[in-house]
Amino acid sequence: MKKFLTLFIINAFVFNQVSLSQLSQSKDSIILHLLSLEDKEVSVKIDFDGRNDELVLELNTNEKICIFEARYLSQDIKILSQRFIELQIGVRGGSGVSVHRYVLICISGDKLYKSVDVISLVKNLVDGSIDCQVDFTGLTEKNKSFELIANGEKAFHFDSENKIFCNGLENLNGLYYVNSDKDLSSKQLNFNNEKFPSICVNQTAIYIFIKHKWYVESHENHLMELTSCCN
Amino acid sequence: MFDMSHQVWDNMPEFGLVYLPWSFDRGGGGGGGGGNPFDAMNFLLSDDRPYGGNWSASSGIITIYESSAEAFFTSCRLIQNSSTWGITPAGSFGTALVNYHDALILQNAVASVSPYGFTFQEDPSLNALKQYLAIVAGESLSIEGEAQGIGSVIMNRLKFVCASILDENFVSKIGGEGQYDAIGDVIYNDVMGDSWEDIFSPGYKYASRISGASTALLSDKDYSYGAYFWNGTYQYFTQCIGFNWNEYNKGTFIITQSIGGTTFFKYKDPNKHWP
Repeated sequence: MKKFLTLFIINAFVFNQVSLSQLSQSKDSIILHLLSLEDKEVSVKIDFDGRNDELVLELNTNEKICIFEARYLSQDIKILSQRFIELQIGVRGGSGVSVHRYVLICISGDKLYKSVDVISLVKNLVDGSIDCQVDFTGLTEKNKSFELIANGEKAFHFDSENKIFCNGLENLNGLYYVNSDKDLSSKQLNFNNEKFPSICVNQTAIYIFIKHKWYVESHENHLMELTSCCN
Repeated sequence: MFDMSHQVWDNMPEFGLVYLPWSFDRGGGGGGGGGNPFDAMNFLLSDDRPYGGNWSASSGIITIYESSAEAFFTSCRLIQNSSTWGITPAGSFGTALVNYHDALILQNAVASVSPYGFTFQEDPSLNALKQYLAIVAGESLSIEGEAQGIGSVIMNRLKFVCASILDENFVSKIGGEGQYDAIGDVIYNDVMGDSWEDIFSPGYKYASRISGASTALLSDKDYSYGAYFWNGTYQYFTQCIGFNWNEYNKGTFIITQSIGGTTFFKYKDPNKHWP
């Protein structure tokens, strides 16, 4: 049976939430209308390709963000403060393990920015225990100053230069081994006492924004890139 | 060319045998099918693959030998008419056997020839088989080797608890639905909702996953190398890593191998398997 691409046009100003059922087919698209950080009206197409575990956000043919190992949307897509696309994605965990990822996307100057990309839930299905959990419950705005609320507190402020949310600076020094979540490829990066914006979640994980890319610092001198590039 | 000497009745049901029961009802009513009583048979065969065997209209036993696993799965396509096998002239046939190596597919294709055509109803255990395929497809990426490994883990678990995917509730015997996060997700639901014709079509959207799941089911080979657990590899590089990687870090688990983006584990203690 042939599946046809279904196209939904969603106006964020009227409906700021996209039902999961509208994006639950193996290959579906939606178009979201929202505002850029400069208050310009923009449209973002979101393709969910369940066949390839891939979620693609497209502003135009040259400007895309890809999220890999995306298996399902664990919650409806929301638009926060008319400017941020909120994605809560179920990613592949393992036997007895459920993993969710929280991603915020914004638009500025015809570019897509991944403002947040963190693992928000790791649940052990064996005993029901939770290894880590971050509840992102909303976003406040005052004069274009945004605060992201996590676990009931204003946890992350908006870095308008990098278009990301963060709550600290991380100092990196020396040689780091870097893997990619896309293909597990490995490379090395050298740092010289450099500070980068970071997100520290529940004191268990540090996500670092280095040259327009998100990394999670794992083991000593080890970074994992949370890939956005579609190629 | 074909192993015609193998007596398929020698190994009646043990673990590893796969039953695909079908029953046919005459004419109208629910269910798909139609055409001739070999529709179900042809679900497992195609006319462009080499296969051997024999069938007897009088005994109702059809025995088919495939030359390779690849040939078998390539042939898993429903075709409406098979000139190779013809249309049974009359009467009924009882049990069809498909034999590949040590795996048997026993097909209770009880049918009566009728000018009114046929419909079939799937046996509940066929739904369990589909659920197995759906779980593996949902848990793996589009890499056949990963699906093979995950399929083998499920086989290892089933073997350990002396169960098989023929059991309607086989999932409950290997940890329950909560163990398999894929259940209820897009890919799982797709497979469960798709027809057998779609699932075994070469162009099926999850063909590599289905192929991996199927070979793990029918092959003697353990593609996971004795694993009872798996996890996404990249999670090891995050700090919140979940049960399997935690057990690995504690020294309870050892890695049997990694395929694509999946790492497979077993207990370090050789006397401990699962759970």
